[in-house]
Amino acid sequence: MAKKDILDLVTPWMIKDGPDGDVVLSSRIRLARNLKDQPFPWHASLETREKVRTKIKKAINPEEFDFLSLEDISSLERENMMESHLLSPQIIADPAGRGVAISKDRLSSIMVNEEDHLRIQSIAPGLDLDVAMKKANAIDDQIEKVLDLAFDEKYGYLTAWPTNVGTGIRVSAMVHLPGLALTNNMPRTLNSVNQLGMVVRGIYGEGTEALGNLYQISNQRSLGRSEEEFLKDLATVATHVIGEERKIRNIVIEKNRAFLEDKVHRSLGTLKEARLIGTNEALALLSDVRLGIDLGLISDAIKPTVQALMQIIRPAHLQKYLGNNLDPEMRDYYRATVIREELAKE
Amino acid sequence: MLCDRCNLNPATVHLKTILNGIVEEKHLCQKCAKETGQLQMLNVTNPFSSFFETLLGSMEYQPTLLRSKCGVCNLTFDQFRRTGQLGCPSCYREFNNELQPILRRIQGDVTHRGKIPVRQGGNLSLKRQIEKLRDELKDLVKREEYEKAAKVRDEIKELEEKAGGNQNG
Ligand SMILES: [Zn+2]
Ligand SMILES: [Zn+2]
Repeated sequence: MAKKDILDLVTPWMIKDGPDGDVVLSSRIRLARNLKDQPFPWHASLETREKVRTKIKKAINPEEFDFLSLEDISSLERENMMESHLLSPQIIADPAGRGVAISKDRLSSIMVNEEDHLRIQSIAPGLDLDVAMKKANAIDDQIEKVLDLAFDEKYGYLTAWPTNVGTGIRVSAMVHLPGLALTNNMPRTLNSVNQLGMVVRGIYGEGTEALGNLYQISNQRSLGRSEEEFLKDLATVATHVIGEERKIRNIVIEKNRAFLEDKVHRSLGTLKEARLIGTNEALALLSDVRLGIDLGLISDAIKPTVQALMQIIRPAHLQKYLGNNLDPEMRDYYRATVIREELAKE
Repeated sequence: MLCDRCNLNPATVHLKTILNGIVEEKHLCQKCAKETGQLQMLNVTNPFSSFFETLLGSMEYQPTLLRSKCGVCNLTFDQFRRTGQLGCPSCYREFNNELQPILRRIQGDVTHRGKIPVRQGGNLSLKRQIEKLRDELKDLVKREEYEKAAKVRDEIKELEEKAGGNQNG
């Protein structure tokens, strides 16, 4: 098996700690943009989508971005990029005539012909919306210099879904909420987030599952307010959720330290010894260990490894890491092996 | 993308199952996901997109309106109602009357107050500046600061001329 260093295989923000890194994994800004005078991707022929893709490719600086036509890469590679949050489940479901530009630092990407002609996204580790916004904005400015974007004086940036019109912005924070989940407080939290005008999604976007206690909080509206206001709103809600999560963690550790210590060490033990493990179980155990590290119950020397494993154990990453086509029956065995070996390194 | 099962509603639930090495993808609408019991598997759904779907489904439209097409991309209003997506940027103008109430419901507002692109932004930047100065002017008049008010009035005039000039040019 041609194994590589797992830290090189995962998205850079996964293994970096940013502000409020004990709860927030990453901040993401997405801007939806479309070309003037072109049908939106879902309503366009393959020929038109290809034409639009060529036009956009020419407008993107090749020194900053690598451009890929999705049908030119293997489905494994596409899945891998989905697991790395560079592509959405929607775009990999039908790759023909679509593409992606990935920045050299892998912190920004531009999906081409997803639901809109352009979906610019930038990610920063931790709760750092301003940094992500600055990057996304710079990419948008650059593109606007070259391409005629669909913009209306009243409605702003025009998008395929009227739910994205206006700023075309989606501001989100990926959060790890093991404390709230452990104490059955998630329904209450989801409710209060909804009432504050935000939604909670699974980590791969709309309609995807929340595994390993990871959730994505994002704005739902896009019109009627400025980008700065949307950012401020999300930061307020995220700060509220961070506060709740920390409060619960502290209560649990004060009231029942032994219980928590036992739980996180038991999970670490299972990860270090298991011979067969599925994705969901592994993510749940890694979530416990991450919590243990963030609370100082487990040495933080293994934090980068734990963070990387959260991505590496997903099917396409696992296959790429092991460098062969995995017999699915054996996948749980290899997953357990990878986790065991990586944790033994520390 | 339309729902794999009913082919009528937009697919908002995306599922992937791997069974014996075969990846199976399913794209369902909220309704079909619920009916096939898939929604219970998901811990997290988006109340916003289901709200939008329900809203579109609940609106009553005249058959002639449903058959009317966008002059640019040929999308019928019925297609929009079923998919939730517009066909091209011009659809926003073509279906403006019908979109206004929908946007008001889902967005709470119908006016863009965010970023303005440099090249495609038209006179919007100027218009926003003028609006701001008009508010300032009202304020100054109220406070009887006429000298300052006169200055602002001149500024507005200048910007208005600029905006008008841009429109003709
Ligand atoms: Zn359906
Ligand atoms: Zn149209």
